[in-house]
Amino acid sequence: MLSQLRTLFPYLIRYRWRYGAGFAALVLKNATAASIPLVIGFTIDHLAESFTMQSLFQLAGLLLGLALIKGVFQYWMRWILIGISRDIEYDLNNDLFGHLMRLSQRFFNSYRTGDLMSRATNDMNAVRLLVGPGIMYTADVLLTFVVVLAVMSSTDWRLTCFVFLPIPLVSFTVSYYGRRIHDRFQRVQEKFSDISSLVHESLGSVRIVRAYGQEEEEGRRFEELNEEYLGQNLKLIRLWGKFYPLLELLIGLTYVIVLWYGGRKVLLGDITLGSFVMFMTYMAMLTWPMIGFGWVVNVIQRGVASLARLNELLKQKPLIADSEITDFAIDGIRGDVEFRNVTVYYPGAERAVLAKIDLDIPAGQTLAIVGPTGSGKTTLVNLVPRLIDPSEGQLLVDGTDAREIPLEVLRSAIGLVPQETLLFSQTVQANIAFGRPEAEDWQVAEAARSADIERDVDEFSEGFQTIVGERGITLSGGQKQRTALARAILRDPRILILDDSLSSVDTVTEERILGQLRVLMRNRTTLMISHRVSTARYADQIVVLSEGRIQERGTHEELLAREGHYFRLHQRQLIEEELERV
Amino acid sequence: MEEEKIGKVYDSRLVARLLGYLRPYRRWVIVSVCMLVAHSLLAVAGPYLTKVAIDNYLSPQPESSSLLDAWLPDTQLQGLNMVALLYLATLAAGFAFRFLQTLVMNYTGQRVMRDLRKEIFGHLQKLDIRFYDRNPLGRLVTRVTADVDTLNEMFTSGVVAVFGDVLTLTFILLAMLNLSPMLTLVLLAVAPLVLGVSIWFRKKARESYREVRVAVAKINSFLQEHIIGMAVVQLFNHERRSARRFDDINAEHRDAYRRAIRAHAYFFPAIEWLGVLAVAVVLVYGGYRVADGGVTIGIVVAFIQYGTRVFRPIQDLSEKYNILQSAMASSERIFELLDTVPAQETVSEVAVGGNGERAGAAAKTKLDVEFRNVWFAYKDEDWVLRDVSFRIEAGETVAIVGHTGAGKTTIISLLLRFYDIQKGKILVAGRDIRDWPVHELRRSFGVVLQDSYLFEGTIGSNIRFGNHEAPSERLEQVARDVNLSGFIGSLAGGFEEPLTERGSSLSSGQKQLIGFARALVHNPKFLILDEATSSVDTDTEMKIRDALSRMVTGHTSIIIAHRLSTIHRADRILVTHKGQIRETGTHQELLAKRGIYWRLYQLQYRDQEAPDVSVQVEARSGERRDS
Repeated sequence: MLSQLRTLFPYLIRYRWRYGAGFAALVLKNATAASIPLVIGFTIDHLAESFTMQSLFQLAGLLLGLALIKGVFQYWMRWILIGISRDIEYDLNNDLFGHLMRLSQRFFNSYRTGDLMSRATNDMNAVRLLVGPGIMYTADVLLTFVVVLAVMSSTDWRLTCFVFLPIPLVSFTVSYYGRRIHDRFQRVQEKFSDISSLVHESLGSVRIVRAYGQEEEEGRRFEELNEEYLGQNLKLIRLWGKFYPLLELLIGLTYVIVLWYGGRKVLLGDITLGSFVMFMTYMAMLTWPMIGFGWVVNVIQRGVASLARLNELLKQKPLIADSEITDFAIDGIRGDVEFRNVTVYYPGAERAVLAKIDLDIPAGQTLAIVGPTGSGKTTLVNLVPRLIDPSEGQLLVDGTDAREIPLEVLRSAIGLVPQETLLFSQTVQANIAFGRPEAEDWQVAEAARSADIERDVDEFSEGFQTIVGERGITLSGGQKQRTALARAILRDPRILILDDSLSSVDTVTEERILGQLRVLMRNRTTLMISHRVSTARYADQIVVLSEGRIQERGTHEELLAREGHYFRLHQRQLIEEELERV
Repeated sequence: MEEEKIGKVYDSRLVARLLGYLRPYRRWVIVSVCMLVAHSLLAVAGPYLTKVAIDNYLSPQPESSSLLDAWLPDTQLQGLNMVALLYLATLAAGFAFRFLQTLVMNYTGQRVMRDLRKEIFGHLQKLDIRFYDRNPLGRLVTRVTADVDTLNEMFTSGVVAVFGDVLTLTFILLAMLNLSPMLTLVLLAVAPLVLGVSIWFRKKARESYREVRVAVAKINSFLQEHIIGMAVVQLFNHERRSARRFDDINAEHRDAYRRAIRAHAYFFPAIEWLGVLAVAVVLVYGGYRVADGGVTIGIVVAFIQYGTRVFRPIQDLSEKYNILQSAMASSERIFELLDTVPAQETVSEVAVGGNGERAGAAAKTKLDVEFRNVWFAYKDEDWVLRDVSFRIEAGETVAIVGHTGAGKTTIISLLLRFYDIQKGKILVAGRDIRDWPVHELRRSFGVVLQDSYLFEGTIGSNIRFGNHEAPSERLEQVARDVNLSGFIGSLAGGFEEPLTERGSSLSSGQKQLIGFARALVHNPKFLILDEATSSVDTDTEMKIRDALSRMVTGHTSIIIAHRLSTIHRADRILVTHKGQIRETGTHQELLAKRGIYWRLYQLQYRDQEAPDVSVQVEARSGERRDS
């Protein structure tokens, strides 16, 4: 537990002064709060004797004054100590996100997005509860007990002992039921998600269900789970139904003890009526700490468990980063790319995704890659910007091992248009200028023109300032791809990588874009993956990839003459165009 | 069915309809309400008993009297024991009542919710396919699950708690008035302040939580987007800028919460101070009256205790506002769904009572099908099928081929009457399908769709798919027919082997074969097959081919074909193109035409020729002639 908590120390130390102030407020709040029942008790004794209205007003004034001071400290306590938890959460969020950005694609392939999100949100919140309300209530509850115990036992320690009897029971009840209710609730949630997925499955398969006339059967299947869900809910309610009445009972018990045992003491003359009332008032004051103690135990348990899950992410080492072999003298790239005997394995897979690839692409030349799905095309191009590193062999850029080139220098020389376009929920402008935020408006517009997206953008209501995504305009697949293309072009890269980047663009537009691109590509090294021969044909070099190996290589004419895979691809596309025209 | 419809807290029309669901359980509701009343009544007892203890025994006031005097002993010690016992008894009774009340109310509420879920799901089973096209799946799932749960919260904590709060408030007021009307008025002078502070806090809290929700949504979607798109961030050296943007959003998130923290930090001390204010007021006025003998010390002490209890319900009431509001919104959405009228079922129900002639048609073992000048559009006049006519004789196997979007799948959907056509006629066994009872029509078909749609359960249950009567021999027979028995035999559980996550452990070929078996086990009179496009290994391919040829033998079949072998086996091929049937004939006839089929063949099927040498040679020679 302590080793997990170590992650938090730097954060706790960072806010030590504010923690100090918060705890000071907490102590003062408790001190004043504990004095209030004393005054009430004193007043009651006062009432039992002869008194003047003036003294009564003075006592009432004292009471209100003390309560006001208590209120002020209570405000500071909450504001400071719970406030800190949001600050620590903010720091942890920033650090976690910063850390994630340093991790390689291998990491992101091994964790599901939903899992990462749940750690970054749910677990983060559990940790926040631990460092804020968790710490605050622990201190508050313990201090309240100590102070009240001290004051009460100075009046009558025997009565105090009696009164405190049910208190551990209350805390235990809260902690015990809290945990069990939490578990039960979890199970209700699981059934809820079962029922959701059944409804999802059933309504999503509505066609086959109807085709087989299985509506009633589906109803029965639903019915079964519906009953189970009901059952789980009822189990939760049986716990829940006991929990609050039990608390009420146990807390009421403390009153009975004061009434009975305290009452006897009053009759015996051991304590005054005022002290009796004071004890009653203290009991009211202790209600929350009794409950709070049990709650705090669970918050701490859950917080530590969540922290362990966050630590697992934070201790991941960035696999692709600058290292001691990095030559920081390199500040630019010409664009020669060479694969030397490159093999790539993915963890858990036996077969290599790429096996012994040898390829030489001199600066300024164009390489086209064709091949069936799963042949390793994307892995091949992802090696160049070091999204992954080769398992064996070497990637050379300008004749140097790519690992010796500072990562930032290497990547800024590359413009990659990925297969699955990912745009961010920002303006079109910001998305195009993603890799070059300092670009002037005219440069952005020019890149947009080259990618043939400018006319589309002009038709959007806010032009380049239109927000992309859920809260803005939904772009078509083709528009997304062209925006991503503009994003790569604007970088003015030495190496341009197109990973099947125009698959959602119609043939006519593709032709137009390619025409413009050919001018742009003239002095740049280009690697393009394509399904269309029309895209590949003008490349200086074409390779056909299959099952991680290069099957054919050569120019368009050379490959056609071989009558192999490339030739068949070509034939098929000619017919497809013909069919479109029928 | 908008998701963000929030408005009324109370809508009598909706509430009346909701109450209707309680009717079957009205006895339990009454029991629960009685116990709620009893519990609220007992909540008044504690302070009252304290008062009796003080005034009768601890600081005896000869002039004071209470309702209990007749039953209480006179000696101080015995009297105190008696009062303590009474207190204990009220606690025990309170525990019992509250426990039972919670149980009964929630048992009822949960059953009502179950009934409601059942009704919604049942209703969804009746709505036509067009409804499903219009409404996103996620939204429908929400109706059955999340929306009902919101209602549950209202039933079990909202309404009941409000009612309980009102009762408690009333009883405490009555008890206080009984003890001292003037002191009650003095104490209640503080109540408007408590209400005011509570309302202020709710308003602040609502405002800040609205900001918090926005901030949380923002930070979550930023994180999600960046986790998915981390490669792009890294490729474009955007780490530092993304970190800065995250920092902004993160700070916004923190500050939104800060406002909520501040509202809480003000509220709790304020409300507690008002509690002390009430005590002070009671002490001052009570003291003044104690001096003139108007009230006893016991009454003052009892009022101090009532003070805290009377303010709790006032705070709570302002909190229930949100629960009621979202429950109204949920019930409105649920009822809107329940009020959607199923389009086709109304038609078919009329037809169910039809004449015996139709039953005769259905009794035939093979059916013939005819499309007569069928026009169909999913929307307005965007015709997907234009003037389509064809006839499939009983026992015939017909393959439909065509480029993507040519309307192949639509033909199947129409045959199953997922949609009604705009013009023309579809006849099954010589009868317009609109005259067939929908269930009977669909039951005569054995359907295999592209997606094999496997369900949670076992392999056996997926093949049976509701056909519980089929004996296990039949199941084994069918498995043999579709070449599945080897695979099923290799599983530890055989037919009882559970399928995980809708068959994610199966290969696509195995899923297709299960789909075949499912169609066969239902003894169809007409086979409808939409062949899956996914590629499978050679061994499985052979199994599928073999199974398919066995299936079509002896059945009237319509197949959307993606396999050349399937096309070869068909008696006739229909070639669809852009919503029309452009060519019909056998494989050889159509190839000879050198029309659309010939082109499609080059594009989609020729690569499958490899094992069949003769056809390949022929195709090749044809190609040479052309060039």
